[in-house]
Amino acid sequence: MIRLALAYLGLAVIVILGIVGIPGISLFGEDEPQAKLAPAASQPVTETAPAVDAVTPVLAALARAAGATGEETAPAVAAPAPQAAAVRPGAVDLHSMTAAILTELNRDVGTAPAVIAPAPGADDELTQMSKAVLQGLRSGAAEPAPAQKPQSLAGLVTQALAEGQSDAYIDALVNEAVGRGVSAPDGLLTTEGKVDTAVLLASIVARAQDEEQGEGDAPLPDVVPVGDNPVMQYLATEDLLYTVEPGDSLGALALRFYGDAAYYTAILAANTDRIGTANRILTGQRLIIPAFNKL
Amino acid sequence: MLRVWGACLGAFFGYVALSGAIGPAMAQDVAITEQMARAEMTVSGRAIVIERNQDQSARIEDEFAKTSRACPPFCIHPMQVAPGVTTLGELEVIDFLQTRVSAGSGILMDSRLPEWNAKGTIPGAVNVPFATLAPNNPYRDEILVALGARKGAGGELDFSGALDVALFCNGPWCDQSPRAIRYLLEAGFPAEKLFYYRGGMQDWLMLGLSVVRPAEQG
Repeated sequence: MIRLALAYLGLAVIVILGIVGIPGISLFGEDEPQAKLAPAASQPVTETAPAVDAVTPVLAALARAAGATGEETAPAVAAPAPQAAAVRPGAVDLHSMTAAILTELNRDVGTAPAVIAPAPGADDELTQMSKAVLQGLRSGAAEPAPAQKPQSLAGLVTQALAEGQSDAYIDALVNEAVGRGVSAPDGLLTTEGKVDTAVLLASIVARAQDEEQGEGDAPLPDVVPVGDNPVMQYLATEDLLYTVEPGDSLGALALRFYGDAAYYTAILAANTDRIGTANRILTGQRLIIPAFNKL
Repeated sequence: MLRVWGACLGAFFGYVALSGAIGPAMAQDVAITEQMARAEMTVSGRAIVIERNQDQSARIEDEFAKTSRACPPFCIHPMQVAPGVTTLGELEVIDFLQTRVSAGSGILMDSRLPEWNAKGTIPGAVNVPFATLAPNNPYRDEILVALGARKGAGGELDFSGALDVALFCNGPWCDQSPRAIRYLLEAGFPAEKLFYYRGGMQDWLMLGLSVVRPAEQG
């Protein structure tokens, strides 16, 4: 009986505290906006994170990146700041968050020269950031626009791939987008005037593979990975005369004969007298496919 | 002993129920304006609420209370960042989110580097670090296209259908969003489509406005 009375007393005390609003006990209402803040790093962050405002050094480092050599000195621009593991879940911690940011910021001002050191990895950082930005833009605020703003086809396709959509869906998506006024990539219009989605897909995948291998955005690989690409049929080792079939596109031919849709320009260049400015090829047209070693 | 625990548990749930009932009545003593207790909107299918910290004893402490940072680099920026670029205050930022960003015709851009964005940013903002808009970034045009620019046959960019872009960084003493704005202007982005929230995180936090950590938005 006494226990029960004590328990009710406890209940009363807690309810009163709740109404009066003792900081740290109040779970609802008062601290709502702060609660959204989530736990911030409760200690100064990392040694490698650059200053928020040390823009000039960071930029200089990024600009130098192309010609620089070495491995270790890249500013960890995109490295996520490690979070303190011991932060209480749901902790209300606006102040320590701001403190952490500014502690870091001020410390880095003093050490700015370290950031400015030649940074060969900076391009990678920039690339990573750019990819994150593009992902954010495409899945974020820019995405749900009703017909008004065109997106890049590659973006649409990448997103659809990420969503696990079928090839048929992607084909419909791509051609619907082109119908809306999104510009079709050069060399990817088929004889029917549709976008050659299979080739578009293959080139996007190839590009992603290139990027994974750190080849950056080099438009043409040095070595064509024969056999790597299921769409490719054979390598054009000598000049060929090819008769265009329904559904062909320059990109598809480049993929078929060179293993990379990006080589469509070579076919275009060899057939300037036959192909109009729209880069559209016609069924039955005879095209010269230059030998690969002449490219 | 079990009974005591049970009672404690009961007390806890009693508290939860009670504060749930009381909460709304007490919740908005600190409104955004007289007419607006809080701002709600949907951005990219995600519900967003912007409101103010209801703790009336809350203060800016520690470093954000600091008055004097070394300049350079932390110099005070003018109200007008560039000719034709409109400067926004907090209410205009909220309005920008509610009208243009919600409708997909605008984007609120956090120009800071990713780790700072990750620590807390304005709800609905997208992180586009200033460095990614610099001319030396080979992906810059791709980003500009994602912002609604159209690439012509000769590679030139047509910004007539581009989104409205509002940019911010850490505050009036922060160079990152002004720098991003300069990069955008240099790339040909029309000034009338650019907006500068000069107050940035400093003023946003100073007013106790909602902050989100992007990683937790899902």
